[in-house]
Amino acid sequence: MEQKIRIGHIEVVRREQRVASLFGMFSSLIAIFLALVAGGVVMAVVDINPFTAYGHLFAGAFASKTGCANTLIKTTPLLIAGLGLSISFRCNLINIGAEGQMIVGGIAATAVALYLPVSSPLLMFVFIFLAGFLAGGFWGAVPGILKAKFGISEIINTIMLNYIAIHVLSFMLDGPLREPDNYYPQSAKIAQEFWLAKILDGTRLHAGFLIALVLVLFYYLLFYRLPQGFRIRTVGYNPKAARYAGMSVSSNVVLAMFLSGAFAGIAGMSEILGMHHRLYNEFTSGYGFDAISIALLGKLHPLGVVLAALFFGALRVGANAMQHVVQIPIAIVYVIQGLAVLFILTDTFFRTYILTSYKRKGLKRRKRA
Amino acid sequence: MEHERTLGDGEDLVIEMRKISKQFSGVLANDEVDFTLKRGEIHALLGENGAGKSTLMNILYGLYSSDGGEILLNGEKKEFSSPNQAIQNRIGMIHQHFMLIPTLTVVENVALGLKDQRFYRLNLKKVEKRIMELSELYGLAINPWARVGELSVGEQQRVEILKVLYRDAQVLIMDEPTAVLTPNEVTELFIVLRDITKRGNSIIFISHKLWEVMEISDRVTVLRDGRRIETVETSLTTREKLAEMMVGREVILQYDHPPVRVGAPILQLEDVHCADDKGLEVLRSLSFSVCAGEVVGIAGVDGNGQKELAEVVHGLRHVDFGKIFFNREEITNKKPRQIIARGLAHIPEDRHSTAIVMDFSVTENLTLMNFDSPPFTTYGMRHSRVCTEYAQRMSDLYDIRGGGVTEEIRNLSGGNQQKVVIARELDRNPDLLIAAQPSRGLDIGATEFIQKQLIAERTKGKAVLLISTDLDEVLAVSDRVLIIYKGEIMKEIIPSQASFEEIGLAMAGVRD
Amino acid sequence: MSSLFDISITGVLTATIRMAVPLVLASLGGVFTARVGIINLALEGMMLFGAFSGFIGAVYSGSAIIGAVCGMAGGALAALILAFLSITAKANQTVAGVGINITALGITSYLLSTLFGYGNRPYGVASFSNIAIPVLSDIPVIGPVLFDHSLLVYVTYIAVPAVWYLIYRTPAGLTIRATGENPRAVDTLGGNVMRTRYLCTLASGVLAGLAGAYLTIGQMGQFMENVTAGKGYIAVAALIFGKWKPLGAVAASLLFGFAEGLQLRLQIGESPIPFQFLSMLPYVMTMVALLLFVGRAKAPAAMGKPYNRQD
Repeated sequence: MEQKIRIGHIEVVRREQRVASLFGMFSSLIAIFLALVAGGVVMAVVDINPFTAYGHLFAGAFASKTGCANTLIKTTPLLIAGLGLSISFRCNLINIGAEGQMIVGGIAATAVALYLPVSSPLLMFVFIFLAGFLAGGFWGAVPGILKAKFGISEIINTIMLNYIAIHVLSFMLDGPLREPDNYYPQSAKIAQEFWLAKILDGTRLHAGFLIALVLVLFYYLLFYRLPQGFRIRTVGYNPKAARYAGMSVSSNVVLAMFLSGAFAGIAGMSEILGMHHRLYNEFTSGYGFDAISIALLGKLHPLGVVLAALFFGALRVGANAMQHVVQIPIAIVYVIQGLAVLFILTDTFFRTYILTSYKRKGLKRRKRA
Repeated sequence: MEHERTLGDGEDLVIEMRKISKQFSGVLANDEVDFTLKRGEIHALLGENGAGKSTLMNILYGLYSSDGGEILLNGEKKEFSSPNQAIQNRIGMIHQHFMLIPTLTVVENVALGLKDQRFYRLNLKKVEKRIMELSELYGLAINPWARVGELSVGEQQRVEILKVLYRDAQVLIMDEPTAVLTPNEVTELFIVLRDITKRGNSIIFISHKLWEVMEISDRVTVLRDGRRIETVETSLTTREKLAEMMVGREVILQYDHPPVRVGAPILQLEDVHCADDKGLEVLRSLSFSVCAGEVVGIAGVDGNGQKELAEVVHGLRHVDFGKIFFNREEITNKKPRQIIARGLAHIPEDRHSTAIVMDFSVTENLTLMNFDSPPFTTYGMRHSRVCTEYAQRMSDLYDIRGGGVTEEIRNLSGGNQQKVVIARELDRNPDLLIAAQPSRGLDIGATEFIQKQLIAERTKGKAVLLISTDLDEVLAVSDRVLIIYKGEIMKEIIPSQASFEEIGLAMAGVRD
Repeated sequence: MSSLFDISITGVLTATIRMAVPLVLASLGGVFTARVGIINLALEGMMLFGAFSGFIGAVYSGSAIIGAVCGMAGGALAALILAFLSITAKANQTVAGVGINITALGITSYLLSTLFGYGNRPYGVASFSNIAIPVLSDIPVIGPVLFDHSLLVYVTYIAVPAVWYLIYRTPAGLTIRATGENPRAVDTLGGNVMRTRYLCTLASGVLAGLAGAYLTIGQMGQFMENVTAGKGYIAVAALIFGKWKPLGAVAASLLFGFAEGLQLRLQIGESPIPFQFLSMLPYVMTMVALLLFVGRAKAPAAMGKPYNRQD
């Protein structure tokens, strides 16, 4: 009750809040920094100079036009899927299924691109986009519906659907979508006029990156300007209050999972139409799993997710260069990513810890005065 | 013994707490409080919500550590850093919210944490035997093999008492033990408590209800704003004196009800039945109506269907049978959204979990019900500036304090969170206002504020449904009072024309 | 004809036991964390850590038993991270689990490459061989199905009743069950919520680590990247399906093991169903099982809620 707060403390409470919010803003950067340090220690243990290694990593990712383009190419699917996961996370749904949702998005996009008898590239793009969007959305909506109607953990179901999608892909490449007479299990090549256009001369950077930027804008509008985003957030934070305020918990849960999966589906579509131009096993190269860390490190904020995706994209590109020069396994990148997530989880703990010691000091100071 | 007995004139003191202080994030919950307990007495600790009663007792029980002061047990200085030490020193505590595990049996609940068990085998038979002995000794009838979740509230309290007696406590701390009991159960409890003190044990009885303090205690210590106001012999004081000590000024127990023309019925329930979360029928054949320009109070002991009543009207709970009308239109089992749109406002019982989103700002919480309509949203776009300005106005109007409107509401005090809900619900200019336990957890000032608001709404010609377990509140605010028991209306009374005894009987389910 | 049928039944059931053992061990580990109110998605990462450290232990010591001990220690190490994040740091337990799994995948892959490069990964390192139990293994059908396995399988046979007894028949078990339902009640009766939760999380790490070690040195003696391939998550599903009870989790694990065993057997034989659909079977079954059985039981009430005395 406010009348029991002695006036002298109010100023302190304010200052504590300021310290807390500053800490919140930088906690992702601190987490990434700590993870890089830990990665450096791991390198130093096997006698690799971490500064040299990180130097090569940075140079590989940013020092040349090709490097930058490659970084953006890797950033594209990570960003799209990361935004998608952020939508479900904002609804307090732990969607682990971006990988599977990407895969089915890619399958659907390929099938449409190969077999839909449409010749206009623009019209075709619409259909391909829709195919990826809807297929990914469906793969996300299924666990959403199971959650909303039966209360089954979306975590387990999205994970199971990842494995199922992997086997569906393998089946498609064995049968229905396999290019006849090809030794490898892969689809036929998609006609070039349907590819996503290159947008930077001399590089492979494609229009998928522009799609990603448009989706950033969409994400911003959804959660900062549209009433629907407010509903999704309310359901995520407090479903009881959402119901009380007249919102439908189940339809918002399904919608968030659908959009989340649809984003991942678009990421899969963009990979096929922008990069690989055909379907093959493991075309997602684990982007869907990285997207989880990206959403978390980006703190579900549009700009944060962009930066986190860029960081992960750069890590992937730079790690290749680093492996080439200093012989360090690419897996170090996953160590750094995983640790960054674990570090970010401790931020509340350390924030309270810092605040408590700050408060204690403050108390002592006042007592002395 | 190096400590002199400074208090109590050589009387037999079990516990002596000296100058206890405790601070929670800038708030002084206890400010140099002194407290003594004599052997064999029932000592009431009286104070408003937030006066520091529970904090003081949690310090005694070792749950909180104090920032200053000392505790003497039987004249010896002690420091309890965990409940374990308190238990070993034969202090037991029965918390306001029972510390029971509903999925376990009575025996298992009692056996939890016992020190006389061998680590490799849980001997429940042994525990059962002693429970039966104690149960006989103190008249606490219980089935030791029943699951606690299936027991009535009164029986659950017996389990709590047995837990403490089993551990051989000489001091029992009871935090608001009557809050959840029917009048009958209270009478039974008081008999048991007297029996316990006759055997040389002492009881600390925490309460904010004057009449029960007058009835059960030998001495009373009054706390206000974390400080001890006075300790008096119960026989040498009166209700009025205690009330004044507790609040710090004279208390208004009566409100003016300006005359108003009672209009058409706004809310009508006809033979409504519904089930609770466990699927048991909790409203049976409930019928009543609330008209424009009146406050109808629903009185009764907690857990007789009050929460569910508010929920069925709001569309949050399925009606199994019967009909509900709002402004003469049927709204039975309509969606909450449709019912809210017809003009319902609802200050729910569990505000923290239902009516506010802790992670949202004050602004977002103030616009929770109408964020998607003008002026907050126009042409499909939400305008945060409009929302903030509105929130600023409401904050000034309702005196919402504790950081600005962009502050997360979790950083506000409970009273201010409450004001956010009240401001939001009243400002929507509803036809019907449901207020469930509106003053629970508030101090007297805030309580008076909200009670006056309810009467003001009625005087404006709105219909108000007040659901409260606080009989004083219901009687002071309502024009008509309905007494609910097991989901049925037992009796209708006019506050000025009924006696406490009459109401007490109806609350216990006795029909005329 | 009928004898051929018998053999395949025996074959499927034997495969069921083999496939179910890691699930049984991991979901028993999950029982410990669930019963004290901790969401444990990190079972996957604990298994992976256990699989890797068990393998490494076996490589360098040449002893499968030392390998198994190392596996348990590896699982416990992952558990310690989960315990710190969810009990001390009070972080979101679901995310903590996922974070641990990502890290486990990274660290094990990294160490594997660093230690052995790409060309010369050890194969056929010290592992447990089958021990046929005299007399019992001669019983028709039951004998070969149950009593002709490696030591780790027999350890599992013992672990199941042991965990059950600990949880339902000892004072410590009562404290464990109470902690997951109402930690404050435990605290007010002088129990130590923090310690109980830490110890149970460690116990789950030990069991999940052993489950992981079974995957690498239980039979074959090799480690592949991401060798667990979601088995930890299936163990979580078995736990939910088994209503967070030891025997329920075991039964569910056997069912999932049966699905795995069946699909493996069917893949060997000529089957008209494309093998991908057979491989999907355990995952589809997990979803169906959750759909059919969820909602009939309640999770421990304090699940996922960090305990704070002064709240």
